[in-house]
Amino acid sequence: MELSSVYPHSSSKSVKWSPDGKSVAVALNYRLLIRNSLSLGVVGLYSCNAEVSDLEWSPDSSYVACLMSKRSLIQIWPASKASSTSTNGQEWSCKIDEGIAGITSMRWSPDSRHIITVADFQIRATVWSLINRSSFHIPNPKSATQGISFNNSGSYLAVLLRKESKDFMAIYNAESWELVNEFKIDTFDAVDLSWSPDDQTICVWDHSIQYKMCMYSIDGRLVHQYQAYEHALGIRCASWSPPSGQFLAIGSYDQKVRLLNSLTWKTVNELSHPVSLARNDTVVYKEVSSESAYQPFTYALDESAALSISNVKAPVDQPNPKMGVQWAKWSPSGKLLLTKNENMGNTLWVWDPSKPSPLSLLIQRNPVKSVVWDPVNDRFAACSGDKMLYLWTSSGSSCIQIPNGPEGEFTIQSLRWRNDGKAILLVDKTQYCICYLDVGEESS
Amino acid sequence: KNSNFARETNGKSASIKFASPLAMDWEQVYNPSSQSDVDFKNYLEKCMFEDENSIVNEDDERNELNSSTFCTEENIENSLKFINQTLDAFGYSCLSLNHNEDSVQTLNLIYVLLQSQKKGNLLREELVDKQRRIQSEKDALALSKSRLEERINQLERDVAQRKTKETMLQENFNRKQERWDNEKEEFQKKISNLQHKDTQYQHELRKKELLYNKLKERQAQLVAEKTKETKSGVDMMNTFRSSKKAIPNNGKNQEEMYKSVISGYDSKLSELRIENAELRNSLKDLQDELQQLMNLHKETAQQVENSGDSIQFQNRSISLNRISDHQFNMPFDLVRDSIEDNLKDAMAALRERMTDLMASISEEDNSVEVRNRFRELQKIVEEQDHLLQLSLVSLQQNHHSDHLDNSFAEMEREQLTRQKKWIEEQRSLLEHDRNQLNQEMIRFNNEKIQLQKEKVTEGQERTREEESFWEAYSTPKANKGKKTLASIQHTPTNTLPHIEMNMGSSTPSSPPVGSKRAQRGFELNLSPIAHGFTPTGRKQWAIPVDTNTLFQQISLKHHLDADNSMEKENQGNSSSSGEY
Repeated sequence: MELSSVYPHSSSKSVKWSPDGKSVAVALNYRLLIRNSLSLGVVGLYSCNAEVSDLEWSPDSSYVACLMSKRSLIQIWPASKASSTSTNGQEWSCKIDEGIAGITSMRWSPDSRHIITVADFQIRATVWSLINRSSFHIPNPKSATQGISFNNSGSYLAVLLRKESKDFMAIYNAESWELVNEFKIDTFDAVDLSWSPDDQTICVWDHSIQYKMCMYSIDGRLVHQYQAYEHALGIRCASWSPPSGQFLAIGSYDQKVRLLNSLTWKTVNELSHPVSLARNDTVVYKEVSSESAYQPFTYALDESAALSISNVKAPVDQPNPKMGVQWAKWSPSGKLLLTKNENMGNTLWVWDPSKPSPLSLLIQRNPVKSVVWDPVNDRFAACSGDKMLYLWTSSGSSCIQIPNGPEGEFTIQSLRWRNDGKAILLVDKTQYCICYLDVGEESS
Repeated sequence: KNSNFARETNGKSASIKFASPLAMDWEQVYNPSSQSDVDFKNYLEKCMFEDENSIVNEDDERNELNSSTFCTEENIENSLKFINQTLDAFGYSCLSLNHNEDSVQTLNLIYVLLQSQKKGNLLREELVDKQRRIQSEKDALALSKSRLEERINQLERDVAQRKTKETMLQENFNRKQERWDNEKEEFQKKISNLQHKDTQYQHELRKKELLYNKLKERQAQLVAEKTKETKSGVDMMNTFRSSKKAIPNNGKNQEEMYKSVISGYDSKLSELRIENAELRNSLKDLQDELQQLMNLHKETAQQVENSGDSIQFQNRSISLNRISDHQFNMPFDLVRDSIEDNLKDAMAALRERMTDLMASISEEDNSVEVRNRFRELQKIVEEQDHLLQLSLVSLQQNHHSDHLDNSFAEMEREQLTRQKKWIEEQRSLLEHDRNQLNQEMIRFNNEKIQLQKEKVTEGQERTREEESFWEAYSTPKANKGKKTLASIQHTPTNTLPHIEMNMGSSTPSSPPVGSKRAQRGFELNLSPIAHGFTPTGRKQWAIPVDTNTLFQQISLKHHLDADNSMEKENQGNSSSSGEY
């Protein structure tokens, strides 16, 4: 494992890998910096008109779009020399101006030639074409960040709308941008939607006030509706199992994850996060202080017969309580599910979806801030907002301390894996560095 | 004096029996010296006995006194002597022998005696009264005691009853308390859930309100800034090198969408069909395996019967209604019952067979190896059972749900392949074991034959020795000794039956037995594996034909036993014939 040197950035969410993994784009105040991911040499440096609040790579890794939300501007820059030349040989760039409407969020379309922005107050969502400079508006999207999603093959776009105090879903053909279908959905106040990996169903879940999950096919038929319980806070997160979508994992505020079989829509398993765990083949890693000088903490295997985990009850009078299953994330092979129960904020649970008891448990000292699976292998990296990077694989796990950079202490606030699973971007509040794993393969 | 008298009588007689003063151990007092005294003494004894044994009351006493034959003309002196002695004993003054003069003395004495008698009577009456009173009191007390005891018992029972009732009620109460606590907890949970919901609602409302306010502000701003006209648009510097034009679809979108939906369903359906076919195939194969096993069993059962042995086991005709292959392709609904019944019957029959075999084998003191083999067989049958159940269950799941669970089918497939491998291994192990057993049996038989041969030779040697002995000592003396020798010869027959057996004509039936045994040994040489159990593709479930060897071994054992019994008979015959 190798660590690169530390570099600054101006916005934590604007440090991103290119989808092909060759470059890293960083926002530095009003500048966009593109570095080569191996050598970390500067590949591109562009100045924008205003402070860059967010940036996005185009899916084909050719362009980077920078969002300046204060000026409601998007500026798109080419990422490499190859994509930058245009018909008349000069450098290509593009500027999208939303005007009064303002831009809250932006995203690329899978064909890398369109950008979808959502205006302030969710007045409208606009699809901008970079080919012919045309645009069209989608009125009344529900949210800027959620509820707009392309399917996995990139052929359709589903948007959650709110019309006449009811929830609607609109399906657009992503090539011709024509409205294919628009239908009312049965939720009270839908929060988000998710395409199944085989693009056959879209699952929409309701606001946390009510537990309701509706599955629709793209022609508008309600395929299934699932409600585990009522009169309590409902769904917190949901995700399909990656390769084939045979399971849908729904994490809810009652600290349980329910797995549904996507063929029969029957509850296959109910993973609960009990306070006391009977030990059946569960590997428990506990972060303990170690004596080694350069590794203050290490993982110790906890072999105790029965384990008890503290369960913190969230206060009743606060909204968005810290309870329930915060994340239910699938490994890329779909064989493992990672969950975090916010009532037990220091513990990460790794499950095999077919078994009722977890495969592995990681008990940290501090609450886990961010966990990301390796996009390729079945391993994940976690961070707690301190200097330690935690790696877990099915054969073992380790704590790695990241040494300080030249400008002071380096703590890990968020992580981003490269798409080939060989490097991780460790992002601090104002600086970042890259951690290269599998160095031998890297160099060869 | 009176008191003395009372004390003395009390000391002397155990009971308060106020017999006449004559009733005392007068032997101590009166020692007869002459025969007439002895007679007198005897007479007195008689009187005493009567006195002592009779219930005394005053009338009797008076009668006695009145008709006393104590003193007569003849024994005046003696009686006087006696009376004096008793008076002495009692403490009264003695009577003198002078008949005429001391009538005063006599009268006084009589008066004194009478007084004492009277006092005694009075005392006696008092005591009787007292006794009666005490007796009645005692009765009353006993009665009250029994009543009180009864009462105590009853109260105790009552207490016990109440205690049990109390414990029951306590338990009840505890249970109810638990339930109440549980319900309270649940209720609390529900309340907290609803409270969470409530706060979330309020939060959302507030959020919406804030958003609305912001929007109002913005609007106000815009209204104020109506002059500023800002357009929105794309501003591009230089077009793309390769411009990808948007392909207009002209309203074919809907069709495309439906096409994609349908193609998705098609692919799902084909997947399900494949899985269904696989499951049916595996079920069919399982049934085939089972049926082959049944058929084999039937064959071996017939074989054993044909060889004419009388083996004690019920020869049940286990037949499997052959379900044609095509039936397996029918919709599961229609065929389900028949398939299930078939398999269940087969399993039941197998189980019965197994118990029979167990029974028949456990009777015999056979080798541990056979028993082990048997256990292995049982295990295999159980495995098959289990697998059949699995497949039935999975088929049921098929039946109940329209779609199969891909992942679990995968897992089951994996499991099945694993088990197939394991059974293969087991089968090879069992074959190996069987071969070993065969070899050992052959060896054992050979050894046995050898032993017999040795003994035969030994016996022959011994007989030769004996014959030489005879010849050596063929003198008249030796003839006498012949008898003894004969008697001696007798003993060998008892101790070495085998020698007897093989000695010439006395046992005509032995050679055939021996040869039979040899034959059987040869029988064993035939490998029982050659039973046409040709492995086919999915034959991993095949139970090897151990049942056959099992039967053979059982039959062998029986024959051995029969032989032994026959040998014993022969032995008896020979011993009888051996008597000279």
